[in-house]
Amino acid sequence: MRNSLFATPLRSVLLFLVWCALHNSVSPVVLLSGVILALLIPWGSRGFREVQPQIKRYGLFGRYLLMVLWDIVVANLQVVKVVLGRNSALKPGFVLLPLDLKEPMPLTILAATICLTPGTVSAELLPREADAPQFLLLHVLDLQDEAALVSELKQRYEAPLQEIFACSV
Amino acid sequence: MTVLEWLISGLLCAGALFVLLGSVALLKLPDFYTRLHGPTKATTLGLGSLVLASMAFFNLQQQTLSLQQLLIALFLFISAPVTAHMLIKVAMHHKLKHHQSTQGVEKLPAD
Amino acid sequence: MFSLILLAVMAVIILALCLNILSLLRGPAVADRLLALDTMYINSIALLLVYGIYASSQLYFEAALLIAMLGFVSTVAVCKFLLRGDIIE
Repeated sequence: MRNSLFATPLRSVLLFLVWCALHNSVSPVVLLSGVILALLIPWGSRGFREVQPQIKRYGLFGRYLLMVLWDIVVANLQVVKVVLGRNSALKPGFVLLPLDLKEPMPLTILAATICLTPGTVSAELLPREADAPQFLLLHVLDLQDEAALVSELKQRYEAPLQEIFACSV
Repeated sequence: MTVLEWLISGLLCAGALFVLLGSVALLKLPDFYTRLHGPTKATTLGLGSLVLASMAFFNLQQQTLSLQQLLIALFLFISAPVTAHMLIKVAMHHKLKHHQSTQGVEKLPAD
Repeated sequence: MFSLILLAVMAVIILALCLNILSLLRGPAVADRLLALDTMYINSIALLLVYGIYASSQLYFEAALLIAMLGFVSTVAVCKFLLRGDIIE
């Protein structure tokens, strides 16, 4: 399975779409070369990749992406208010987010999501040893209620990611 | 002006305002950690709406296929968190000063 | 009318770029300057997107794509240098 041409369907489809978008056309030449490249590149680069947990539920993943997009819009409007207010009213803070996820790929997606939704930036994975329980250090622009923020982030982003990648808890 | 042109103009104005807001935040906020929030956030939404406007202009009004803007948006949405993460790592490594009302400073790693 | 709006939008983005130059000059730390430079990259992409509409040409989007990639790679490279090349511990 791992050595077959269509081993990573999501990567192949994404490569094909990016190829078409780069050429700005759907002429037969572009489509044909796109299909060939989308099959050959993942096959040729299979040795470079480490084994990552696969996405098990594509529908849920699509819904997750849409939800993140919507959150970006909503939270941006909240950040606008904070930015335009007085500097002395700011309440920035560092927060530790306890993690249930362990695999690198879902963790990366979680950190990127937290970075993209305004008001929070993920800073570091603590502690750095792999077997100890891990925390993600966040910087929050406007920290009102730490416990509420942590439980919301866990519920809204971490739980769906666990379902999408079907990680055991 | 047609309805479509008004729609595109609205998207363009929103995008430009968010881009400006990111730069204002960069100039106004007190310390590096809060400043980081301004541009990385406002630009995602600002550029997002500019890309939408440009897509609408070329695909609907000019009736030509144009997908490259989508690639720009995709690339920026992937790279923006990575840049922000690297920048805040640099700030923590150099131990930049934080704003006096920052909470939870003791959670920062010691080294 | 539409081209006037486009010009106004470009003026706003250029104003944002000028503010970026101010924060680039102010600093005070290297990381602040780096953040200002990164924002300048993104704002110039925004300017190119609007100029592409103004000129009704798709040629500019490829340039914008190149700027996006160069900006990302150079920012990450400088960050890596600041993290590892500058160790006084």
